[in-house]
Amino acid sequence: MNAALGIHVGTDIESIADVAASLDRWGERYARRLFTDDEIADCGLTPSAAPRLTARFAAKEAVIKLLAPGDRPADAVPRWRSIEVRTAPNGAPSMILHDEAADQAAERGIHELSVSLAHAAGIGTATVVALAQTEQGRA
Amino acid sequence: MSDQIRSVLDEHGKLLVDVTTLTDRDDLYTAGMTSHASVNVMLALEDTFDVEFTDQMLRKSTFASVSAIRDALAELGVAASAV
Repeated sequence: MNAALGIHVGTDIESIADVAASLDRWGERYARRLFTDDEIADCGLTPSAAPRLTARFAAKEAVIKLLAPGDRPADAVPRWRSIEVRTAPNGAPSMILHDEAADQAAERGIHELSVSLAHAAGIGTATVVALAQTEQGRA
Repeated sequence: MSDQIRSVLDEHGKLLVDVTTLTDRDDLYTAGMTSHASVNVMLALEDTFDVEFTDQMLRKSTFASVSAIRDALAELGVAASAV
């Protein structure tokens, strides 16, 4: 069977003020429901962490869109903590998928993810691009 | 009580419509709730009903409608009469 490479893209935008307000109101309890230990270690939990956490939450939502769960049962939508942003010592972000998010990516032939994060002017945003191996002629 | 769920949604859901106009099965995301707002809804529900959503429930679909929330609370042992 011939194979071809397909490209999947997911993007999302979130309010830094919303994340800051949730951090202020719920504290660590809020953060631990959304973010992995490594993400919290990378960003911290102080008010100044809100922009970076916002961009990471946007990255999780971007991956959920990219995996296109709309054609799946509702309970198949990946958990937020199954999608993780890692930060290299030089500051470069990368995506790591766990559990059902990794399974769904594998089902779709996705073998490489690239992420770009940004935060400014009150918003955090992320775009994720994935390369997927598909049957030729099937987008 | 569904009224308690609706009260939480009214305060934290960032809905674009009056929560009283929604049926139990209406999609809350279609009604304007953002994914991030659903996290606040979850935490407020935990406080209201004195429960803790399990790790497996920490996904946006758990909070997609009043009935989905009611089902999740029932799974956590909140008595139907209280939901």
